Amino acid sequence: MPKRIRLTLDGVEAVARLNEEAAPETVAKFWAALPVEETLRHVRWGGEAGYILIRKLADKTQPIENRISIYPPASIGFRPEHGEVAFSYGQAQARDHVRPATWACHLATIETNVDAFFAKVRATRAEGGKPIRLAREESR
Amino acid sequence: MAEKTGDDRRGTSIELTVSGASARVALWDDLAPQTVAALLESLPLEAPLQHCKWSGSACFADVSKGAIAGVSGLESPVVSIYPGVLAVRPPAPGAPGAELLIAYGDAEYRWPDGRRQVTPVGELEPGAGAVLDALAATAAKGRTTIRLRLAEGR
Amino acid sequence: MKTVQIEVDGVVAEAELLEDRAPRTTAAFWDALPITTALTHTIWSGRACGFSVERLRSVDGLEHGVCSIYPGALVARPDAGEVLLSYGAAEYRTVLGVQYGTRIARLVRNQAAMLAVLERMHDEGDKTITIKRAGG
Repeated sequence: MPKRIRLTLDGVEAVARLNEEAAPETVAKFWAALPVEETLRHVRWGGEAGYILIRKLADKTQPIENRISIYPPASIGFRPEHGEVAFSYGQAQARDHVRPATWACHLATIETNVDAFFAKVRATRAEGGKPIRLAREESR
Repeated sequence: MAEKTGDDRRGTSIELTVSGASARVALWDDLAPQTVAALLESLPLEAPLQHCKWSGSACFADVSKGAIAGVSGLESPVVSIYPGVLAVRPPAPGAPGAELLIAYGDAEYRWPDGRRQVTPVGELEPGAGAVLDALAATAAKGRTTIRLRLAEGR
Repeated sequence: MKTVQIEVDGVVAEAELLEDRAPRTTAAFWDALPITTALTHTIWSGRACGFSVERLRSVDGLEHGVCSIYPGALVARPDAGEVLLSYGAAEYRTVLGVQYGTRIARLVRNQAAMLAVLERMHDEGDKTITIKRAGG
């Protein structure tokens, strides 16, 4: 049974499936860190996505599993060097100031309430940061 | 003069001389504190200066001695070197020592394999036309010398 | 030298136009003033915020092209009718990668306060920018 997480972004809920088979170590560390509450802000280098930083997951030595550079829409990407979790709603890529293109782990894919969830992510550009909570989705 | 460079940037000034023309450089302690500190520790500094091959309207000097030659890492990295800006390329794999660069026109730090980044450390204060002309002249006249020292009343 | 007054969220700063480096672009920018328009944080270019100036589309090509946008610098992309103003590490980029713009102005008064307002936009979202002719 694949692991899933429940995300609550400014009152909107969605569920995402973790890519445990393709990224076992990354998913294990991420799962252990939950629940997490942060402020989601729009990315400044990576395009159409929002992000949070989970500082306790930042590890420059962690290999990147299930590597992507372009974030697929509805994906959750993870960059271990910063502990950055990115939520892509459109055209987006793992980028920063000194790396015009780099790698991230394709950590998860949002499966439910996709449109409403990413409308909130998109809105952070115009409206600013929004509170987000990530928690383990227990079997129902 | 301080207001013309941004009223919140009253950092240290140094004096720069190229081919007999001198001007002051206002250093950006806020953008590059470690690199600026290393540069100040390296003064007075004198090095051969020549025109860039890849980076446009700019000149460069290799610096193999002093604290600036050992500065580690970039600070506030940029690719474009604005006219009048002094920048530092710290030691890099295959390129020991540091490189000082100063632009007199449109310039972008490049190597044969493409764009790279430098640390911007300061810019010429207004009235530096003679220095800019001296820098431009190296394209036709060849190598000269750059001297940097602490400015009086800095 | 022409200067402009920039106001965001009650903070007023002054910028000087780089007419000698970018005569055509700064002239088009000056002609467009005064403007009051939306200011939006960039999503590709780092620590910078942008606004539209449609009059700039009349300018053909770049003058004094740069990709790095130093803090306090205003860089225009005439083909996009857009200007970015940086508050920190910034490079002009789009979905296609690095782009070049014409550097048209630099903040010369009250820079720190203005950059602080721009930085807050990462948390607070869009604001409004008003730019008027000052001296010159």
